Amino acid sequence: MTTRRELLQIACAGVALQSVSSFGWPQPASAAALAPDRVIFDHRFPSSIVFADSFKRRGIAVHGIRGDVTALWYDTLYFDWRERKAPLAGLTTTESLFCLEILARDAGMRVTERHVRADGLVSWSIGPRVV
Amino acid sequence: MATPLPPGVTRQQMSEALRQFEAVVGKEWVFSSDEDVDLYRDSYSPFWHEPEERVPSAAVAPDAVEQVQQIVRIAGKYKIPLWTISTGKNLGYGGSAPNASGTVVLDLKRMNRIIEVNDKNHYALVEPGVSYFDLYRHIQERGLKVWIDPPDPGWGSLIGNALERGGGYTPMRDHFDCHCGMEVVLANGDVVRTGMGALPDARTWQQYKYGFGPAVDGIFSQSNFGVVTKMGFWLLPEPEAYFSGTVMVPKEDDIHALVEIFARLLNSGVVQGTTSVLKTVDFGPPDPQLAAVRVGASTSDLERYVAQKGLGYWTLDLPFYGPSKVIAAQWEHAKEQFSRIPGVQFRDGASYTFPLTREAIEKIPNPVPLGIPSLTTFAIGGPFSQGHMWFSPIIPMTGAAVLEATKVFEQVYRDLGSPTGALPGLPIWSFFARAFVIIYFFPVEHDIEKNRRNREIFRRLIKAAAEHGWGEYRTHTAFMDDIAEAYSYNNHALRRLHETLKDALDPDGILAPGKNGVWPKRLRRARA
Repeated sequence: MTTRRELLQIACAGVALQSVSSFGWPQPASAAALAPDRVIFDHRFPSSIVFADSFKRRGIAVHGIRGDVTALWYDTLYFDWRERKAPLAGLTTTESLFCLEILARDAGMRVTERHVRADGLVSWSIGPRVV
Repeated sequence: MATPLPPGVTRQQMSEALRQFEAVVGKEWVFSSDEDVDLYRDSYSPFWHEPEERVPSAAVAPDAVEQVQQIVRIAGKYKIPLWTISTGKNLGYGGSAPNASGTVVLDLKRMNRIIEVNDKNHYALVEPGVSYFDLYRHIQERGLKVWIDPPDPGWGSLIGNALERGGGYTPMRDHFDCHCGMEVVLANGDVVRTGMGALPDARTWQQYKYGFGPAVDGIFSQSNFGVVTKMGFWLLPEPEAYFSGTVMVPKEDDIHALVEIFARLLNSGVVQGTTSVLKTVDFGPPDPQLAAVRVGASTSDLERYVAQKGLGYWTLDLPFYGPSKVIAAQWEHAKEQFSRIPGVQFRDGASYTFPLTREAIEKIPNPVPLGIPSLTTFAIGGPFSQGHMWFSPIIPMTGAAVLEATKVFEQVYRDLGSPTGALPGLPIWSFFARAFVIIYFFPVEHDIEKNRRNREIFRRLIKAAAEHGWGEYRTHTAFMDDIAEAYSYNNHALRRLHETLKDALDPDGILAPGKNGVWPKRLRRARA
């Protein structure tokens, strides 16, 4: 059957990703930027794959998505963040980062770096919130 | 952005209240820095970059009922308003931001205990911070034979969504209707349990809704009369199977028979889940030819177009849940009923038997109607990067109402122009029994002029709906007063009753001022 998600998907088929200057929230200053335990990339974008490869060569775990972060969070990050506030980095769409940012907030973490690129993708880091 | 204060509260009083909140929950769980408070802004606010954006002054996150009691008592002492959120995922309807700037967010996400899940009598008792994902994981890890009913997306709170009267897709889709028993902290700090929960050592709190005497649960939904700290939910026993069948009819006028038959099947329990009535030319597959046909086309042009494509003018998916043999019989019966419509077509859709393996679930493009929470909504891309709101009027479940609503709302667009980035048609849903709800996508952008224009269109739609006897079931905080104004029978008798209750239960007006148009006495002038 059709869900609201699918209706939206149908309606925006063929619409290119918008390039946005930021997602709205200001850059937090108090969370420390740490070397990531895991790097997230999006299989759909060659630049994102190249980004992840550079970390993979340094022995850092990488995890690919196709826009949707559900499985990444449900199977991996939920456990990573329950045990410790494992820092994360990535090059994804703003929508993927939006989800990860909110999930990270619920786990007591924050986006510590955010750079929107000319191609519309955003590179980012997530780390523990510093009280 | 300077942190606003609640009306009538001095900075010194606020500082003292925050200090007392810290004594209750710990310094770590009181948020007052700009960095932290910013996270409680509505990331889909239609007031981005405008002074009208409603922003909180601080947030406090208790982890127990006793802490909630202490917080409301402190808030009452200093007359500091609290805006309660469960997990703060009410995106499209205000997110975690309050309806009045300066309000302190009462964030219940730490109260995330799953107190009971019973898969013999099919219910659960949870706290507000429990998300659909949390409960799904709990059920899966224990192999329990019950389903949850997640909305789309599924990262929000069961309690939050039910209190906002949200909907899902399975037979348990009316989330408030599927609740059974509440625990509520009142503004004076008292704790009330509703239904059978009023009985000490109750054995049936989640099994019988009404208890004894007046039933009051409803006054705590979409309201500011208390803080709900526990809530029971009825769950769906894991069905043997799911099947979706599609019905397509060729003519615009077929909508009358299509909806009449559908309503009979739905209200008889033959069809059990949420579905939508779609005008194919508005929501069909992308087709360059369609764009040319749609602009200025007559009804007969559109009917010819869909006929050439082998599609229907209207499309209706029917969801079935239950034993495979029963589903097969239900689908056959439905096809018999719809066969009265000349030219009707049927297609078999998705079919699953349960339980599914994890590998099978990963191959399902949309698992939400199968009781599996998901965030795939956000992977769509396109014009959704910056946010959206929903315009959500309830209309009769008739073909005539579908056509009339389409005509009325299209006239608003002809008068004012379509909202930038809006969908081309009206998605019409059966989230609730007996009535349709239109859930219309309204884009939010980081563009002041576009947002102002879209807010004007939104308000015009509210008025147009009210003029035709249709009202919204839920709305963004920005429009709560507008919609409350439309519910005006007998000189706003319902609003006056709400205000009487508000004044009795929360005389200091500390709980969610302005929520759904209900303002406390001391702030009532703000309504105008």
